[in-house]
Amino acid sequence: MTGPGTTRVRAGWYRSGARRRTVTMGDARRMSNSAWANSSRLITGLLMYTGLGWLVSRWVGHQALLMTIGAFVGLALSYYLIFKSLAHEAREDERRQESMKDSTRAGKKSERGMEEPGVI
Amino acid sequence: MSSEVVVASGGLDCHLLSGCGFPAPGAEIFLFDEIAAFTIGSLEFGITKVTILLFVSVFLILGFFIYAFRKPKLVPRGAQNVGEMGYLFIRDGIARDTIGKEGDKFVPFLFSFFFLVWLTNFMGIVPFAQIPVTSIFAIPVAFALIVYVTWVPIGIYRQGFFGFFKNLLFPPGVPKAMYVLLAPLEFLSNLLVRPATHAIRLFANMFAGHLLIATFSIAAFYLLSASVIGLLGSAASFTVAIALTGFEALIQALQAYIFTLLAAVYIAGALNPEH
Repeated sequence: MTGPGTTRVRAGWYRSGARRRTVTMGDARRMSNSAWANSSRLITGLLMYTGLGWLVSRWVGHQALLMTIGAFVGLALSYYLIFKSLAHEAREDERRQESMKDSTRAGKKSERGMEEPGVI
Repeated sequence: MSSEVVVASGGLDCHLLSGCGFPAPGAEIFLFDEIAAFTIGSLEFGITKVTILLFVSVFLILGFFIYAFRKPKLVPRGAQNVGEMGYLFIRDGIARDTIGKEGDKFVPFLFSFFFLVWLTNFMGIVPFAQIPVTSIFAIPVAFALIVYVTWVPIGIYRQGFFGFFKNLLFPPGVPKAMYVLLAPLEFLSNLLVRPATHAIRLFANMFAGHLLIATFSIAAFYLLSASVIGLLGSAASFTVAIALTGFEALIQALQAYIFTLLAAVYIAGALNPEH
């Protein structure tokens, strides 16, 4: 294929613009865990603070508004928690990528996929 | 004939032109008469069709896998081949992918759950059985509780009592002051909503699927009458009921997979906390 007049396409050209990264089984597992955890957080925040709002509104004598406020507060807290924990995971991920790159540069055997029996 | 009686009899006596309205199926199609009843101490046991189907599922799974692995050969053939495919699917596709190195220890647990949930779901489209055992809420609740009393002790054993609750209650990357509002949320999310959604996800899928198939099947009977609309509608309902049965077969396998996958995710979280 590499004769005169043909352009040699480098393997992986399609991700030249994107951040190059190594995905291990550990990464995949962390992503799956956080996806399930976050869906559960979303429901819980809404239900719990709506319930709290309802309880308080009963206590002070049926102010229906308190339940609505509770719902909004709960949803806001859920989103806050999800954003914060995702940001934390992104930082951890960045840190892991850096340490992996360093170990490769230093001539050590790449950690890619070595931590688990399966490799993506 | 009153409408209650018509509904209770499955609506098979009601037709488009007889003027008694469409007997839409409701929650009563999930209620079965007791075939036998007995009492042990103060506990009353009622044996229904669902109980029998649950036992049939368990014995079918036991029978199949004992048969498949009775004389294991190095080069598997027939039933052993199918059994090994199932085993490898759970070991590589769920246990190792989700839990990691330690996953192999949990393969028997996940394997039993996958096939039990799948077969009890599958009872929904087996002729004459025709009720997904897992659409009776107590059964997915029992399944989810077994998973729950597995991963919580594992977490306490591996992380210590206080370590386990610290990891559950205090998510990292959040300012300390926010823990007042977020710790109760995390507590409920991990210890209450998790097992609840685990059970409800399976139950609701099976319940809704069975209700849909029942609705279209009854519609096919109801519309069957000597009129153009009746015949066309009946044929259409019948076709949809058949298509939904195929769709259900897919959902049943998918829900069994998701149930097992979630059990593995919970165990993985108990074994290796992320922070």
